This record gives sequence, C-alpha cells and structure tokens, in this order.
Amino acid sequence: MTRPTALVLHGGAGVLAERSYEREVAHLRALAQEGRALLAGGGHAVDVAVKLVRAMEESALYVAGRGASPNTAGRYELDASIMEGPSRKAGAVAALEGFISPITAARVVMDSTPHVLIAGAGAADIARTHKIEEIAEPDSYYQPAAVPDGREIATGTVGCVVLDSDGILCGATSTGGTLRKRWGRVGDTPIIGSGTWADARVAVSCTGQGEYFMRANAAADVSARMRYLGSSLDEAVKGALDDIAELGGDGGIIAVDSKGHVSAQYNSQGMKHAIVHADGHIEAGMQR
Amino acid sequence: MIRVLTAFVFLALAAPAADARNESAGELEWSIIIHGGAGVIERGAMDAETEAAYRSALQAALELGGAMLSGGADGTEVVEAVIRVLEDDPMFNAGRGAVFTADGRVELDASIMVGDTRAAGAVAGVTGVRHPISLARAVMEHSPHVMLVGDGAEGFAAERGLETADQAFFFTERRWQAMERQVQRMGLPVPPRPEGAPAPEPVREGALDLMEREHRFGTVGVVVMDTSGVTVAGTSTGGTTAKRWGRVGDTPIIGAGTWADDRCGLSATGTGEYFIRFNVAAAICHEANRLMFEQHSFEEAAQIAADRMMETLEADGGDGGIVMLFVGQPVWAMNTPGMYRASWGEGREPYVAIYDDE
Repeated sequence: MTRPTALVLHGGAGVLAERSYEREVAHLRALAQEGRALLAGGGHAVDVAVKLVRAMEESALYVAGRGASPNTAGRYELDASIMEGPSRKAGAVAALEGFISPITAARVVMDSTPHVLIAGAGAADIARTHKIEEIAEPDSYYQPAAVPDGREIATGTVGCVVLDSDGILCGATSTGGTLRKRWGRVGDTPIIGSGTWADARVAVSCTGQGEYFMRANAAADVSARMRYLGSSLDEAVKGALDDIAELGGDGGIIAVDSKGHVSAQYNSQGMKHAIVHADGHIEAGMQR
Repeated sequence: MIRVLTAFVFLALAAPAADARNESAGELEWSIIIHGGAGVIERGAMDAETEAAYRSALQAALELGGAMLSGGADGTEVVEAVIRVLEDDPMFNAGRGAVFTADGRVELDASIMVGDTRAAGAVAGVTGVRHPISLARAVMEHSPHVMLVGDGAEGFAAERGLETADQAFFFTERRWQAMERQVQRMGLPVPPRPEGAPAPEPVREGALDLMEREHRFGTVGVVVMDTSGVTVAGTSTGGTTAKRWGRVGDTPIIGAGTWADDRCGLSATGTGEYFIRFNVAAAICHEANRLMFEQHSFEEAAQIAADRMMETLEADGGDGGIVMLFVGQPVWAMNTPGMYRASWGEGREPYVAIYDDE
C-alpha cells in the first residue's frame, strides 16, 4: 500500500479586502504542483518544505525573505524555523540579517549545530560558515510586500507543512516580521511550539499576530488537542484558533497529520494558501 | 486547550472551576515553589559550608516570597521580587554570577507568564540590565510584544528606565575560570577579561568541577499562586558556559522554559534544546489537566505528568528538572541527581532541598 503524502502552503493571513491576490495564489498553486511532484518522486519532507519556503522567500510576493519589511531601525531582521517529526529535530534563527533564505539557515541550525534557536549576529556567523547564500546588494535587494493596515501587531509570514511517503512530517515557517516592528522584537515564527511544530502526530505552521500565538503556544497546542482531547486535525486547528481569538488575536494555521489529513483555517479576513490533498487534488485561494 | 478541558471538568463534576480550586485550596491559599538549577549535584561533591550557603539562600528567597504572598501581594510582584534576589546572588546562574559565553560575555535570558490572562514577556541575549526578569515583566506590561532580544531589548530597558549594570557587575572568578577551561577544551581562544573585572585570583579546582556539573544548565525559577488564586511563573538564566553564536535556550521560550495558565504554572531548568523540542512547560501542564480529568488528585496528576516528561526527556538524551504548581500544589521532578529547590505555602512547613532523595 502506498503511504499518503500531503502538503499545505500559506503565504500569510494578512489580507486586504480591496486587493487582488491573483499573483500570489497562482504562485502558491504552482508551488503546490511542484511539491506534489517532489513528493511523488519520494522527496523528503524537510527537503520539500525548505525548497518551497525558499521559493516563497525569493519571490518578494510575501512578507518573508525578499518581501520583508524593515524594522524601526531600518534594518531587515528575518526569522525562520523548521521542525521534523517524529524525530522532533528543530532549528530556528531570529533577527538574521543578510541572507537570501532564512529557512535554509534554520535548517543548518537543526542539522549542523547542537542548538535549536540562534539569534542575531551569531545566526549570521553560522549561516556564513555553512556557505548559505548571502545577499550581494542589500540596499537594492528587498522589495517589501507588506501593506500597512494600521495595526500595531501586523501579520505576514510564509509556511509549509509536509507529510512525505516515508511518514516524515515537517513544518517550516519564515517571516520578515511586522511592518515597522520594534528593533529586537521576536514573534512566533522562530519559536518552536508557537509558530512551528512537528512531532509523530502532526506538522503545523502558523501566521498571524505572533504575540498571541506565543501566549497560546499555538502550534504545539494543535498536537496537544489531538493527543489529550482526541480531536480530529480540523477540530484541533479550530480549537487553537478559537483560543487565539479568546486572547484577542487573529491569524491562520496550516497543518498536516500523519495520516495525510490536511487543515488550513484562519480567523482573519483570509489566508493565501494552497493544499495538495492526499488524493493529489490541489486547492488554492484566499478563502476556504 | 486548558479551557476546553475546564469545560469537560465542569460537566464531569458539575462544579465551577473556582470550586475545583478551593477544594484543596482551603489550606493552600497561597503557594510558592522555587528552583536554583539542576545538575549532577551529589552528596559529598560540595563542602558543608557551600551546601549550607545554598540552603540558606533558598530559605531566604522562600521567606521573602512567602511573606509577600501571605500579605496578599500580587503574584507577578512576588515572582519578580524573588527572582531579583536570586539574580543578585552570585551562587546562581542568573544575573550576577551568570556563566560566560565563549566570547567572555554574560548574556542573560528571562521570561515571565501570568496564568489567568496568559500575558507573557521574555528577553534573550541581554548584557547590560541588572535584572532580566524585570525587563521581561516590562515587555509583558509595557509593550505590545512578548519577546525582545539583544540590543533592541536593551534599548527598551533604557526607555523604561530599568537599572543597568556593566559586565564587571556580573563577573565572578569561578564562572570565568570555568569558561576558560571550557573554551580551551573546545580549542577556542580564551577571550580577554571584561573591563573592570577584578584581577585574577585562584579558585579551588574542586569548586570548578562542582560548577561544571551543576551549572551546565543552571537557571533560577519561581512559581507562585497568590491569594486571589492566580498562578504566575518566571525563569531567569545566564545559559550554558561557553555558549556561542547567540544561542538561545528554553528559558525565554514561552511553553518550553516557562508556562502559566488557569491552574498550572511551571519553570524548567535543563538542557534547553531538548526542553524546547518537547515543549516541556506547556506539555506537562496540559497532561496534568488531562490526568486530573481522569480522577487523579491535583498533586498526583501533576506528579505523574512531570515524571513522564522527565522520562521522555531522558530517553531522548535531555536532562534537568522542573518545579510547578498545579492548583497551588507544589510538585518537582528531575532526572538529575540534584536540583536546588524550595517550596512553601499556607499551612505547610517550608521545604528546602538539593538532592533527589530529600
């Protein structure tokens, strides 16, 4: 029997009603097709997740990688994290400056250091040591994708969750943070358990008002609800989002479980997303 | 998740959560539990004088917290006040007396969380603030954020007028020499002593050995339940000796090193990377809630949940310990030979211990 594979991508839960997101949705759909082909060819969940997130980072279509926003000090400080299940290997970088693909740096932390989270200049040192691609012309590289929405805690992230044919799960998340974010602010994206999670049960990636996701321990909460409440994947994701709403926040969560069920939900206006279901069917859009 | 479980408990017991709390809180109107780090702390490894000094520091911290709580102080105030004392005490790996990075600097992490609102604040990589726990609290109460790191955190501390300290303030000779020993072992150059640090002096070899074993993951943490029934948890640390590259451990990670919710609060100390990957603090609280629903007493539920996590960690190669309050009931667990710890509460005798058989 062939084991199921599935994946979900998100391009952020920050959506403005008056704007068209045709380009983003078309891009996500194309990435979903690419991901489906990689998985059909036996691709490893971590390789697939990193490849797709990197494509989103390089596209400048989302608030991550090239589309990131400068912080209040005028600097581009990027965050990313990755986790693999069932092994629970994890890596994350916070406030990384100068590199094309923060998710690739997070993977290096996971694979090549004894640590999980590295912040600031040290993250750049590790990325450089491992020859992660640097940005040649930082002054002209960034093309901020974020549109100010007037809120103090804004949203903008990309993420990917994958189940591969060997039953390996991976969650990966990358962000350029919030528009005009305070210098040194770290949101949920590089926090294992908040913005990203993967274990034997499920892989999760979150996007939204990061502070609420941290206080709700949102990504790990999806797994906890499945484990302790016996929730289905959809129920668990909804429960985690309801908890965030109760704290006063909004955003979205994508998840895939070990059986190939997928979930993509949000309590914001919408979430740019694409899904490859276990039967190969692809779905992409702003709203579900 | 806690609220959903609470809903189940409502149905199961047909009683509001407040009653569930008071059921045992008759004699537990306030409660406090403290840790000062876990590690290979074994009988005979420490001289009597040093051991007595640790016990008396824990006792003093306990008395401060207990006096505040019995006087009706707010839980957040108490957690901050007690951790400030431990941060200032050079015996513990937090604030003054923290370990050094491979670059010869002190880089401090801290976090705090309030259970009823789940408000939280955290800082990482702080080098010039005397009390990182106070900065974590300021992030929680005076910024829209949960976590600030590095220079940005220092800038916020300056805006809030928090007390600064230079690197010489945090300096202790034995921590410096422990770092020197470690970087040499790692084949790295020994960094220059911080400006303003005292001239080198001899440190007893045995003291260095002891420190290496006990402070591979030293941390301080406090969990309290105040007289209004709110649980608050906080943790503060200097991290690991000779850490590199801006490594961040579990201490400032909400859900890993610190967690507080409606009825549970927890502070962890250990090999931080494992504690992050197992989401230790929140996971133990979630499991305790579930076990409570399975007819266990509060104390049993918390103890089973904590012990299970320690076993899981050990199987994966992680070690350390936790202290927690579950509906005010103090519980500790560790998979190391020792953990500096203390607890007290209304109607209970103060408890101060180091070794696992106490």
